[in-house]
Amino acid sequence: MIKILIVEDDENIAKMIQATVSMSGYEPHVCHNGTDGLERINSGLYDLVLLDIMLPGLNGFEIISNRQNHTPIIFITAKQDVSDKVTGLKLGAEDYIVKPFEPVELLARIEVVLRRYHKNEQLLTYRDIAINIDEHTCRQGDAFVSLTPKEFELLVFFIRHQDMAISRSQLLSSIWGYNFEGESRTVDIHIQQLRKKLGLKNVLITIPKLGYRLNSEAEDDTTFRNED
Amino acid sequence: MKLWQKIFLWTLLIVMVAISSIEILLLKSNFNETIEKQTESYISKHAYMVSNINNKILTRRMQSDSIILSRNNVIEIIREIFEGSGTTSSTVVALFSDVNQILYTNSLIELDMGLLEKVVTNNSEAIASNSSISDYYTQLLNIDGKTRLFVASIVTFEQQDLIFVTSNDISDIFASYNHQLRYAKFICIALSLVCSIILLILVKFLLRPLEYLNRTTHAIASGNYSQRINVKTHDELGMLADSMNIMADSVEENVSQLKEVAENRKEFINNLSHEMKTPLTSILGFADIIRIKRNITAEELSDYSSIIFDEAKRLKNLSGKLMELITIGETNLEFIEIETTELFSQIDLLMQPIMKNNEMLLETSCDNCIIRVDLELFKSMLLNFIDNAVKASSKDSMIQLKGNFAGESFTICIIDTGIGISKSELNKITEPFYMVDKARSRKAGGAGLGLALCKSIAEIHEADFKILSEINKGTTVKLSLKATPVPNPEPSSDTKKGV
Repeated sequence: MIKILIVEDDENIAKMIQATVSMSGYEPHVCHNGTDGLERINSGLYDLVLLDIMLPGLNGFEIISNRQNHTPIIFITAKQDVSDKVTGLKLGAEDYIVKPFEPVELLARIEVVLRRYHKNEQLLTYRDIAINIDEHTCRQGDAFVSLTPKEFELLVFFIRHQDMAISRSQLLSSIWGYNFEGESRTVDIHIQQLRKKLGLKNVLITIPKLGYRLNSEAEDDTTFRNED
Repeated sequence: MKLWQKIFLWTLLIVMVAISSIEILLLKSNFNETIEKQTESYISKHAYMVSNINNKILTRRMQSDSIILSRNNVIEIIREIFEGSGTTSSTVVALFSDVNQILYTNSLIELDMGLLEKVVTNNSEAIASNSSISDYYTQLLNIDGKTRLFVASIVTFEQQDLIFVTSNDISDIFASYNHQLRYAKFICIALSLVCSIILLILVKFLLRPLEYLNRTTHAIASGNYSQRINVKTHDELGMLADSMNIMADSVEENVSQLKEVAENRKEFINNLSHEMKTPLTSILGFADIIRIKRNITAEELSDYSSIIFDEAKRLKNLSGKLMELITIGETNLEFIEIETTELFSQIDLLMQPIMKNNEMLLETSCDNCIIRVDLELFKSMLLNFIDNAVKASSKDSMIQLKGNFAGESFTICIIDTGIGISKSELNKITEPFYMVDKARSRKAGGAGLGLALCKSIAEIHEADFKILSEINKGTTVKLSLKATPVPNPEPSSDTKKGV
């Protein structure tokens, strides 16, 4: 399992990040000050570090310049100055995310970084669907299903974010790289194709006003929330 | 044209005019005097010649024993005098009987008829009356590039009125005058040259500070506000430099003040945005998780929503405090006079429940006097200080609230024996959003604005406030403001209340 270290002094934010990363199945570890954080990064036990800049003890910039290994680091900070961003990236951070942020956005950024470090799993399974990311293949049972590149990426994104409602704009920015809303028809068409090709009609469901969600198991009444 | 050029050229011009006019005047008067003297000497020579001729005529008359000599005899005598003996050859002599009729001359020089006419017309009366004539007429004439002085007079030889003219060359006087004039010109030019060099150096030297002044002013104007003009002279330039320095001082002060204000504002906004983003991040994050996550458990839901609630409350608190801080000077302040014992008992009453909750003791002692305050603001400031003391102290400790009236001022001390504040932090604690211990302060719902507010309130009341502190020994807040004694003095009351 992917281990993520969260170095954040505000308890509630740390808790929120913890809840966010565990939604994607990562293993979160939290520490609240800079000195502790640096020590734990140097232990080399983590696959990724989410690092605040304003920290008691050592600040984020000091930590990144004093670390002894190359654990990928994403800065999470309330500072919005471009100069801070540049400083952070120059010091070797993988990415820079400004508070406040949406949890899915954080997950998407984490994924990009993990992919860059080849740390995310290359073989994904969902029910009877098996995906090999390296080979870009998708099998259902024994049969190969042919998917367009965007359909493939969309499927991978949903399998990685099961049981999470994803908005169309998030899908657009994560998969199509668009930073604006408006092409949401494109998303809808691809979702329909996925449902049709893989028979996901009951599990890849539409959430009104939100977007789409891939359920890990078929909809039943055990959940206390009543969807639709 | 530059100032030094103007001063230089004008001065040079005036000096040159002065020198040359003085020289010319001197020369002229000298020359005139010479001419006058020369004329006089030639006139006397002329007179001498005339008397000489008269003598000769007398002698001849006696020799020839005649009563009157003929005109020809007279001419003969004259010729003898001027040609025979060694008379000065430079003197030209002529004798006329009338304007147009020359009787004798020893020269070929053409004589000016105008002069003769003048002599005749002016003396016609005298000639007519036959009286003896002693007037001489002189005239200067240029003949063949030489200046000659003509002296003419009416003479009576043997009862005949004749015009006797002598002429002498006085070119050498003119030549010497011209020579002197040339020499004067040369001196004038040489003197001007020397003067101009001295002037140039002098003007340049005297005006040198101006150039420096100009350069420095430029430097100041282009933003180098710490630059000063170093001109040490005691003249107007020195005074100007001093004034400019004073101006630069005030400009620098104003600019640095403006910079500080801008810096503070930027800092304030940075901190504010940070303070707002922190609760917002939790609110946004948890709200979104609740929204998008399937199968969220009841436990998670209550946990997340209570965090959202707490953080939202923190935001509310922050915005409230912020509004207070911003509007504190603008709201209508209501200053009333209150007895300090009354104020302290109100504070004591308000603090009791909090002290009870924290199991602490508040000891108040107070000299009674009257202070003028906005009661609500002043109370909130004192409560804030006591609240800080409570937060810094541990269980069972005691917090003292003391009021001393001395002279014209009332001093309030809030003393705790808590964790204290380090020296490096002391300067910063009244800055907005500064928190010594972020985590603790956040948990207590603080926004980091309390002391900044207190500072503003103290300023409104024109109160001095100081914070003295030592790590692990405690903190003392000292606040002093103007006070007046109570009209009917009561003995100072000492109250001790506790849990």
